[in-house]
Amino acid sequence: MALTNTLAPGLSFSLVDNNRQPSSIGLYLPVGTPLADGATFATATRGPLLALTNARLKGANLGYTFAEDAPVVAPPESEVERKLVLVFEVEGGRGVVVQEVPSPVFSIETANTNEVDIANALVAAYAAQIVSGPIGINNGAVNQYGLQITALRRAYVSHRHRKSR
Amino acid sequence: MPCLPRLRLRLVDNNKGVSQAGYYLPDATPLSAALTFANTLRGVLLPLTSAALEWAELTYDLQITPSGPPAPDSNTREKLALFYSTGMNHGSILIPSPRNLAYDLGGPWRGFRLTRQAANDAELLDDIEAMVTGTVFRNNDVFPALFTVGSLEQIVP
Repeated sequence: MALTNTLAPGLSFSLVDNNRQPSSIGLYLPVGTPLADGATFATATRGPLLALTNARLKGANLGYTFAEDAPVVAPPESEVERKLVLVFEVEGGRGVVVQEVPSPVFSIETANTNEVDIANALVAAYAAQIVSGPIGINNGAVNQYGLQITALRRAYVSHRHRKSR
Repeated sequence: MPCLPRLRLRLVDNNKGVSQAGYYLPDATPLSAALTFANTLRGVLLPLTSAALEWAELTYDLQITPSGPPAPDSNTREKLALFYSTGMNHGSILIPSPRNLAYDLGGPWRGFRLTRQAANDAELLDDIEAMVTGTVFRNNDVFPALFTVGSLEQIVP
């Protein structure tokens, strides 16, 4: 079981008009189109597109979708409004990254508190992947400025529509 | 701010509630490495959540030169709808804030249709065909190299 790429990559152009109202154009490229070819196509499309629109072209991006090849049905107790909130530290102590895991399993919770033990095996395994996932050497995810996420500081459970304990 | 690749995982619960978990990846992460990361992440995420994973999406910003400022009369709520056919299927692409070039093709303002033959504007049709050549549908029917633009329709919301 894995995430596999069998869908057409989506190319999107973002535009904005004189009143700062944004809009976008969505196209699909052939399955398996490499990123470089998608960039070439987008660049070649820029001229014909600007001949059709008088809005400002701000940028373009290419999205690759990987479908779960063995999807399962979520059990009755699942609820994506419940979140496991993970607070990660960033390199050099330059802020934190807050991530949420929807519908966390109940086994990680502790009675009478929303706090979750960051040493919990499931939580620790997930955090280790975020910090040290297989992108380069000891590189996992980063924050929006490209700074490395270094450690999990805190974990707790929250619910968007219920008060905390 | 750098244009970092972004990974989104879409999860659903038993009540069809949808949520997404998002991550930034290091600059210039190759697609293959990003997919490896996504699959490894999947392995540690699924034991942690009771929601079902539907798909993951990796998004890359492309290096494309922005255009100049928008025209004073630009309006992205107006769309030029391009209807096309592959012979097996059909679909549409919406172009926000069409230029007067499109308006000048004739017909009433609201809801006019313009056939390829009636357009009599080879340059515009060339632009349209150049723009949509090579695109595909979600069901993976690949377009012919150059397909016919069936009709154009001006949409005013």
